[in-house]
Amino acid sequence: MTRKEYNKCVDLYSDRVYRFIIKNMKHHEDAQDVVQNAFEKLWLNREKVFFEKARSYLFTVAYRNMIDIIRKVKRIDWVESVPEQIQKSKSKTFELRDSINLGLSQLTDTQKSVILLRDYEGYSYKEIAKITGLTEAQVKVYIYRARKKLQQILVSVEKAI
Amino acid sequence: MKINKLNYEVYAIDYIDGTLPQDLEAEMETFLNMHPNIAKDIAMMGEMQLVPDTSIKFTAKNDLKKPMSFSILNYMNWIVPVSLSLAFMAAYPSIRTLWHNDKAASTVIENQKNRQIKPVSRPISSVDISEQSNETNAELTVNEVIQYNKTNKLSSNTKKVVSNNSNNSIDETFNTIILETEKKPAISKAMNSSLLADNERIIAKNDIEKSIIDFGNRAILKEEVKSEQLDFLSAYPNSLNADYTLDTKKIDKLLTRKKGFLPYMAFTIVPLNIGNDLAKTTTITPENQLVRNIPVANDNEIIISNPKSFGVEMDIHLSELFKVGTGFMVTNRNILYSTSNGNTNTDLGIQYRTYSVPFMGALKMPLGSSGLNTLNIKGGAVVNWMGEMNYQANHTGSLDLEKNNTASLFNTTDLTSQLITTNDELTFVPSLQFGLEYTRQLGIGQVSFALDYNRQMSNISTINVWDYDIDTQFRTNQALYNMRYESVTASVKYTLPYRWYLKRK
Repeated sequence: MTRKEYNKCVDLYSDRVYRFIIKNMKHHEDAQDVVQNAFEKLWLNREKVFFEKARSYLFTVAYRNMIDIIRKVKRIDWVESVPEQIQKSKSKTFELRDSINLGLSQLTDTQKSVILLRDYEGYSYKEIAKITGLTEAQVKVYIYRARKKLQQILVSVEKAI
Repeated sequence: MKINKLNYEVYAIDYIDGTLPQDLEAEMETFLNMHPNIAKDIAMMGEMQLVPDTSIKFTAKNDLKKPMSFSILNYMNWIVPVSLSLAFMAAYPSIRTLWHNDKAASTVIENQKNRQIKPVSRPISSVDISEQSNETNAELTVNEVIQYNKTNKLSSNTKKVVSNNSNNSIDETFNTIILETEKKPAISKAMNSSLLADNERIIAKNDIEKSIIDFGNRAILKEEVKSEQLDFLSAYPNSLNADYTLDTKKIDKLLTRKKGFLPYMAFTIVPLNIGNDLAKTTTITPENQLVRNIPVANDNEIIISNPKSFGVEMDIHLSELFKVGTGFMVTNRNILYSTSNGNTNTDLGIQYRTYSVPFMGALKMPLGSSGLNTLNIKGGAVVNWMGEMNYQANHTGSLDLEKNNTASLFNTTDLTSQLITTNDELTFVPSLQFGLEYTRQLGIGQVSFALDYNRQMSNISTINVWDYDIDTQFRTNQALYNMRYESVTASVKYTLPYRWYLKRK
């Protein structure tokens, strides 16, 4: 990968990696560190990583780094109380987004990661398995459980509203 | 039974996605019939997909980027075309001299040895001139004719030219001019005496050479001055003589004394301009790109295909070499959808249309000419005032809500459809253009064939690729792609014969 391609990767993927990580970590500084580490690693390995594979590489590195931090630091607030957080907004879109954020915060880290990789990034189950180090079957189960849980939360939020 | 309460989760997602093999699907349905609670969960789940919140941005991008080691690369977009054009302009006088020395002047003058002089007796409109040959027929280039009329009232200006010139080889050239004495003996006598004067010969010789150089070696007036020839001479008055221009309305009084070039306006129709977009395989960035391949879900791509345009131009020729202009062009591109293996492109049936009003300044320099037909090299800068829209020929959902952006819909995954819209705001976009143009004079007007390289110097269009729910017509912003075009185009143009002179003498 050339220097120019690396810079292109920053333009192309930094927002996306960050979006993925921040949804998992909540802490802005930690998420920024993870993104920076991932790009630093990409830069160090630029001779080996092809431009076309850079996206997967960044997500893989960032994901693993994030898991390490989560396990070590253990300062993630997973659960937020649902009813208090809901505010009626003008548009239906906004309501939906709020509810989904609330739902996401109640998933486990793995559930959250796999569903974000699937829905945000459009990765196949096979690719998600590669990034997360899980088997394809595990990925499918995690995604199923995550969707089920989100569904339940959305229903409860609707009732609350 | 393979699917049971312990393992059904592995198959559930494939079942929702519809990718489960047939036998397993049947088995799954049997299982779900036996477990209605699970069936209910699965039924509700099929409608859900998370959408990225694009308002979340990584703000420290510049900290991640590495400085370009050779920063001039950043400016290659500008440096290459600008330096090429400067180099060409610097070398242009030498290139022209080479061309004319080799091709035009020498051959014509050599062919015209051993002729006799006869005085001319007729006005220019009826001078009887033959083709080049060794026969004793009259043969005149435009300037020769002009010169003979001019000698009847030799001006102080021409005398000044004479005094600066001391070319002794005039006789040979001048002897080639054959003139007939028929109808107007008084004029012919005066001309004859003038022609014999050395000073006049020198003037005539200079004009002949200038004429040959500027006008090409086969630009010989025959019988009458044709209208398109007059057009040409009006457009290039310096081809005749810097002091004279032609009055195209009164053929009997061709010569009018004047100074300088008369700016004029001309109208051109461009019925066809087809292009090939360059650099298709380069990977794009959202910020800045020259290509039209847009990656969408699962590494598939949207391809904006080669442009076809038509329109009109209006040019003001400020000098022989420089013109400014404007016009209106309509450009169509097709949008294709390419699957991840890159082998199959599906035409989405979308016409992606750009409207532009160019504001152009261009230099046009003749490389050579053949009679009234010229080959020019041209280059210039264009600022296009552009707006875009796209419309689609086929889609699978109702798009009534898409009022501002007529939109196009296509399926990319089983989970969702995607929608393409383009920015319909008007934008000013600078671009550079270089090329060759061959212009051929017709009986009425002229036709040109041009080959151009076009490069936009800033982004123009924003292609939006949305996730789109056909049922609810709900869309969420998936991605924005700013594009700029780089293309080679071939065009045919027809210029109307009428010219509007901005000032007259």
